[in-house]
Amino acid sequence: MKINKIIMMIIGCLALFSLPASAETPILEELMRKYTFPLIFLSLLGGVLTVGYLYVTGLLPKVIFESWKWVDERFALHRYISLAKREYYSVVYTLLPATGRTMPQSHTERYNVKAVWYWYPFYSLGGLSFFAYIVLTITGIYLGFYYVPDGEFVGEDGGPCGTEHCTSGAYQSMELIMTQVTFGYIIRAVHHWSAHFMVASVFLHMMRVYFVGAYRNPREVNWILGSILLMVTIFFGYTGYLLPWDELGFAAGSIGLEMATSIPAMGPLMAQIVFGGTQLTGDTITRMYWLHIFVLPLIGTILIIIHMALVWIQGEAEPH
Amino acid sequence: MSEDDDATEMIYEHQEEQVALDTINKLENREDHSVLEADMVKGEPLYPHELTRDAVLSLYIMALFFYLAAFVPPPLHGAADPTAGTAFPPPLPDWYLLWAFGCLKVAWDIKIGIPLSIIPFLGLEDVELFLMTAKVWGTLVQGLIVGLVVGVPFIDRVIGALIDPQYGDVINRGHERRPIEDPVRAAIGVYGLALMVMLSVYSVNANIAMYYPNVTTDVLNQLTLWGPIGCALITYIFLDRRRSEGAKPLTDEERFSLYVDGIKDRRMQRIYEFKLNRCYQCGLCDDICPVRDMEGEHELNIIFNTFQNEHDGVAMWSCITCGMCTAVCPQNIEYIDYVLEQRALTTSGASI
Repeated sequence: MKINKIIMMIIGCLALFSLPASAETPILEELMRKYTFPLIFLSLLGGVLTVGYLYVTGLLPKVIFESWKWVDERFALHRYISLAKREYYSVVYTLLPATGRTMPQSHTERYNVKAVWYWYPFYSLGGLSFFAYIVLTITGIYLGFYYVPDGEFVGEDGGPCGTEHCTSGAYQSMELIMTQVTFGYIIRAVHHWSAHFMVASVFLHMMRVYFVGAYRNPREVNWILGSILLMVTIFFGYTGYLLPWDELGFAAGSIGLEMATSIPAMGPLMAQIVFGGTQLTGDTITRMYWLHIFVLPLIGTILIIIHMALVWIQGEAEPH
Repeated sequence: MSEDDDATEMIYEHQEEQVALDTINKLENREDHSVLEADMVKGEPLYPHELTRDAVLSLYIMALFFYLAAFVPPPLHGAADPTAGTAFPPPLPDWYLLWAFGCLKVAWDIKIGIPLSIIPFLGLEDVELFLMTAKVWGTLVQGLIVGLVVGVPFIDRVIGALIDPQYGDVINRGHERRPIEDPVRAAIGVYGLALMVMLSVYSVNANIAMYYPNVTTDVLNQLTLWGPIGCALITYIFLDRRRSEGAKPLTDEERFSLYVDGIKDRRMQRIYEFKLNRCYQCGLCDDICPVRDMEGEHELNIIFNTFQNEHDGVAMWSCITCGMCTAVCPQNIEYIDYVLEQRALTTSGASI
């Protein structure tokens, strides 16, 4: 009763306040224009806050368990899960019967902990960012066949820049990739999205390591290596963002140049090293290209190898 | 050069010891029973557990890449033009650089005013010292954030030692813990996360003001300042309350309602039952229990088995109520109270 009334009141208020000023604009369209984005944002925020509240108060396991019971009563999922579990543990024996071995026990089984550690999906983020790195390498090699690192501004018809529309060799090669090259357009899109995914997953990976407390003795070195790798990844993203040499890249370049020059004491030197001068010119693209395809991959690959070797030696940290 | 020789000898001996220890462990097929017995918690192997999970997930991720590439392709904007003026709202850097951009925007010029005019009879005017421009200060803040992130393992040790000077060493020995057992660390992490998000939101203030004129820069300023602190406080309060719930004694009303529920269910409801429900069988109590050693029952988790009614009464009558189990329990379950109450119930004729 009461809740219904309150909800109706809220809806009424929203409808009243959102009436358009003139009678010409359709009300529904106006409502949609005004409230679509806030509703999406608020529902996402509400979801995050609800899950956070449930986790913090310790109700999350109960809620998950109850909903799992509801589904299980209807679909009898436990049968298939036990089947899958048996298959999982015997997969080594099925593939290599001569070894006579099964899969090793997990942390909870070894220490007989009767709890579900539902952070397991977050443990995959490191591996997934490595996967994204491989995808980026392959697509990057393909894009490298066609991209020309020539950032000199020239006019579209061969005249000086400023009197005509500006363009550059780099931008023209990007147009070529997007329109002429076989699969060039989809390869660039995959490169773009896997780069975004890699940055996000590396950041979330670091969050997971922090909240589980996995950076403690003996894993401090790996934490430092990982945070350097995060910075390398961000630099990768930044240099790659500039390479098409379009409006967005130019704007990002000017912001970055401003940041570099405002470093106290060694600002101009940093600008000279990274951007090739205190102005954005053709040299900037050359530097960015060299950083993006040689320097950063070299540093990144070496650090990733050490990082993963350390994980291999020390194992993954799971709280008890 | 005798010192060097000593050092090499020591290293050599240590290595021999380690190899011998590993061999003995392998021969006896010995595995640490729990955290208390282990010097350091064993890491989960990368292969095959993690590799299996990753292999399955990476297929989904590849599918996601192609889906996004096909339906949300990256645009190619117009060519860069250094002669063109800046657009409004100005173009933004990628989302992962917004926090750095926000650092630059949120910083203010640092000036220190020396109020000389309050000194009487001198006729002096206030002097204003200009210490640092906003741009330099914002760049330094970025460096500070990066430095803090790199130094997390060492800052963590300092915090552990400050909070608990006696037992902070347990943290230093490197046992990864659930966020719920470390509310301070979780709160600091949430603060950092919220600060990053708020800095990113702050950096697009010009774009926000275009669509939502009510959200002015001042509002965003206050949100950036107080929002993360509020998030951290809420996290700390809730996690700490949940951690200490087990140690809280029951009120009379709670006892009464438990008995009423028990009558409804037609079975004896134990008073401490819902506290025991918190037990997730970590086995720390079992390791520390002196009676368990005497009885020689391995793999017996007293609290949980008692709760499950799977014991033969040994645990109840041989308990010496030393309280070690409560001391090590991550959920602060007061097992002694439960045992004493059960004894009282049993001797007064009630059924267990």
